[in-house]
Amino acid sequence: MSKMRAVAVLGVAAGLFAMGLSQTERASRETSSWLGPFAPIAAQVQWVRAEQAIQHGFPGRAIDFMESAIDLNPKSGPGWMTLANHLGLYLASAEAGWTMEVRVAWLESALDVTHRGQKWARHPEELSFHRGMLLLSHARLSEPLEWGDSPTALWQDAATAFSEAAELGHIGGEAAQAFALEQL
Amino acid sequence: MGRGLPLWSGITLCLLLPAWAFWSSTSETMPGSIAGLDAGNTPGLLRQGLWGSIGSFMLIAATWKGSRAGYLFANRDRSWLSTRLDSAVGGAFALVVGGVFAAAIALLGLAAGVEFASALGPAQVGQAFGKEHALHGQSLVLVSATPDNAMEAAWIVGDAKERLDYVASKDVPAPQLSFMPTSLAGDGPSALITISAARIADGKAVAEQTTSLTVRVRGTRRVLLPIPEGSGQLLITVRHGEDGPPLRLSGEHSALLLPRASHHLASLALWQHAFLWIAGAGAIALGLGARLGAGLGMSLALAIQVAGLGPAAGTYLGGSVWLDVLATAGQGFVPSSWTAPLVMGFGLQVVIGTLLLASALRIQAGKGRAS
Repeated sequence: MSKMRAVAVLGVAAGLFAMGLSQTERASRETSSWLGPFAPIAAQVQWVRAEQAIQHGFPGRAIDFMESAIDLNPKSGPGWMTLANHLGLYLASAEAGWTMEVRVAWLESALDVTHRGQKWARHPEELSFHRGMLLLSHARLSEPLEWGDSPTALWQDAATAFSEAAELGHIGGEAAQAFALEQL
Repeated sequence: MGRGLPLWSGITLCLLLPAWAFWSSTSETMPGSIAGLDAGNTPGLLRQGLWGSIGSFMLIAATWKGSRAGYLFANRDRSWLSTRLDSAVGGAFALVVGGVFAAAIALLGLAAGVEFASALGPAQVGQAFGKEHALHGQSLVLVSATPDNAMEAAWIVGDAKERLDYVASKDVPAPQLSFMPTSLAGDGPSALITISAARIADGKAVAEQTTSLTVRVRGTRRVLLPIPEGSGQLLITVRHGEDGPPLRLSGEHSALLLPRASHHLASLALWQHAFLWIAGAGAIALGLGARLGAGLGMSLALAIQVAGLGPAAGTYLGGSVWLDVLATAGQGFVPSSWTAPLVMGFGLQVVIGTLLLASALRIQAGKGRAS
């Protein structure tokens, strides 16, 4: 091996080592997997499998795949939103066939996902805004969910979520909050 | 270059491995997540990570080496081939079998390395269990406290291979049923859940042959229930407590766990699956490389493996099964062994690879004779 090649190999290896060291602090909060840079790729595969599970009528299996994908790549905001949508829109819908109490529980579960995701995702304001959108989606139904103590509780909670999104820097947060408050 | 290569490879590896470990290290996991439950299982996660990452590198390396070797073998020396190769299929098969053995030996080295690495870290405590198969019930089991909802869910589990049969003994640990109830309220209010397993005789549950446990669930929790003594089918019943949020049971994590002699057997099972996956890909890459050239052959061989990540093709090509097996190892369980479709898929890839390589050899040998 020529000296130049040896130096180049050593340089690349040292660079990767330094990059690994610099990533230590950030990576410690990113994932619990030891898959390194393969983790986001494995997460993508799990999303595809989740989609296939939904298409084949296995919503429970889809949740398992989605949670596994999020465990592999928790910094992906769209990942948290997709899981929240599955729980809060698909499973909490009247068409899913559950009773009102269970539909309410599914929506609560979806809101919990957005709260958890805020601690991990690159753009927490997007998840806050999405929480407002989930609540708003149910508030606008002709037969809304039995949510909270008053019929306007869904709108109220949506306005709170949009307000939080605005505080975190979401560009549409204030306008959405104003819209939700108009409905009260 | 030859003499310096081992030294520089060693230095590179010494620098890369700590970098990888730092890159992948973890000090905090998501509360309430499945990864959070597995966070204490360092050897399992280490196995999952090392096999997953190095296995992926080895797949790429095997397809590249395979397609390049196939191309060189078929194209480099036509006149040599034309005089020495009596049977193209025999020669091609010998090369493919050689490649398969090389993959097996390289993966055995990886298995030994992974187990050595896991032995250096914190020991995996408790009885080792093999995760045999998911309990085929409903895709989504949900129990709730409200009277008009299902407070109780039940399904019957049978096993054609009679692995559910169990005779109590001091020396043999009982097989377990694994469940993972999750509260729909996340880390909010908790709820009680009672899970029972009863043997069925004459269509009815036998009270004397029943195991049961009641646990409180907040977030997600893994629950293990010993199988009751006896043989035959089991009636699994899940009952919600009187208050608290609804609970759902994960279908993926409702499984039969069989006792195993050692946690280290996980790497043996991972070796089996990695071998079928990587050696199969290498075999087909040999044939494709011989016919299409090294670059195109490798690309096509990798594309076939990507298709294998889907559920249908994955049953035969091993990609999606490999992901499930890695997940099982990450949970600290010993994955199940080879399945018949996987072995069939591997055999098919070896046959196709051999035939493609033989056809390329015949074409090139013909050209050699002509020139």
